[in-house]
Amino acid sequence: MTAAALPGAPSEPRSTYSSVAIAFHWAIALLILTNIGLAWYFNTLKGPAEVAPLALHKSIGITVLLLTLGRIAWRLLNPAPPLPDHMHGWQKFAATAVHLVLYGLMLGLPLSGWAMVSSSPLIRVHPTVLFGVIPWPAMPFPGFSSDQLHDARHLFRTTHTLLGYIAYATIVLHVAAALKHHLIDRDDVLARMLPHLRRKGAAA
Amino acid sequence: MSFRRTLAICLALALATPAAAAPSSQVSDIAAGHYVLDPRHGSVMAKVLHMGVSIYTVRFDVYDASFDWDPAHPEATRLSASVDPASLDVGADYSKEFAEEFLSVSKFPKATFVATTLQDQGGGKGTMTGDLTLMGVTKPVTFQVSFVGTGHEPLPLPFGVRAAGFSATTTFKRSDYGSTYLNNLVGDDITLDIEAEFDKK
Repeated sequence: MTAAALPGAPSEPRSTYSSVAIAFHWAIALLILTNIGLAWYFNTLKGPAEVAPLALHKSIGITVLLLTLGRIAWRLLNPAPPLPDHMHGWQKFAATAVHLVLYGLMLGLPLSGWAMVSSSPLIRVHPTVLFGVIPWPAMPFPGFSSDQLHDARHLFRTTHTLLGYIAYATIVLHVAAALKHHLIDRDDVLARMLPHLRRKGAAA
Repeated sequence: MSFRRTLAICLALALATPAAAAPSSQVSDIAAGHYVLDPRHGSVMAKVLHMGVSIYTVRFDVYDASFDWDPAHPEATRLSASVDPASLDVGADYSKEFAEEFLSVSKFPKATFVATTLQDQGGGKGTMTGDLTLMGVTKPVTFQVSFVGTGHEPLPLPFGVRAAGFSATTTFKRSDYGSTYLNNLVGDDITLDIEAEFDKK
């Protein structure tokens, strides 16, 4: 399945992502969209009602973190298919930059969220249990006084919120660019991630 | 020690002993003088609604209070008190963290109360209105106060002490003082229940 990436494989690069990379992409995309929806949802709730959706948001976030680590390892071993030749240099740069920012967000959002709940005294009352089943440790903050922890929690919270807004903008850019390639440029950039969309006879 | 002083102490002990045996619950038996809260026999407790289903009690372990008592003018009594909010004890090992989150104790290390008005309702009961300063915000609150008892306590040795005890309770909204942490899960109404034993100095 990954023959193209292995040493000694045919020199012509593959024209779509590997099925593992595609599975990582769409699984994480679905989890991220679910988590954005959950964040909007529990922010409209008052009182104890927000606890359960918030717990699911944490579980999904940690899942994204773990999947992203696996995805990065896979990506390092299996290079992405090349972008089409008709793209300008700045377009290729922008695409790569947006991808890098997305990887940063897939790590930074769960890490800042995890830090946020770990620095709250509530973590000692109600430790995180992923999907209500798997106990998940709190990040340790050795040597932090209670007021330093308080300040740290606010910093993590602000970071988490800010990264959330950056994620909205970056996802919009990423999706808009994919749709532009497919609908306006009519190339196969989107088909690299959705192989059944591939146009017959189109250049990769 | 002079002979006269020794005699005076013996007389005082002799007079004090019967008083110790019979504490009184009459306000009129509270001796005139300056009274200071016994730091080991006070209870400053706060009750708050948890998740809308139960009441949780926390306490503060470091506090101070004093007043001057004139039996002829009980309503002229002006108690002043302070509580160290960092001494919050929630009955678990995260008390320090909760003190910071709920009461910003590193920014506001002292809570105070200064009485301004007393009203006697008879039968050892009354109201005490004054200014409560919490998290840097000062607002009036009114305590329901009831007198418990007064008498001579044999401890501390050698002479014991003249003591008087009171209960006081009031209710306020923590949001009025800027405490909003976990206001989705922990109630806004705080009931303060105070039990205090004052020693005459």
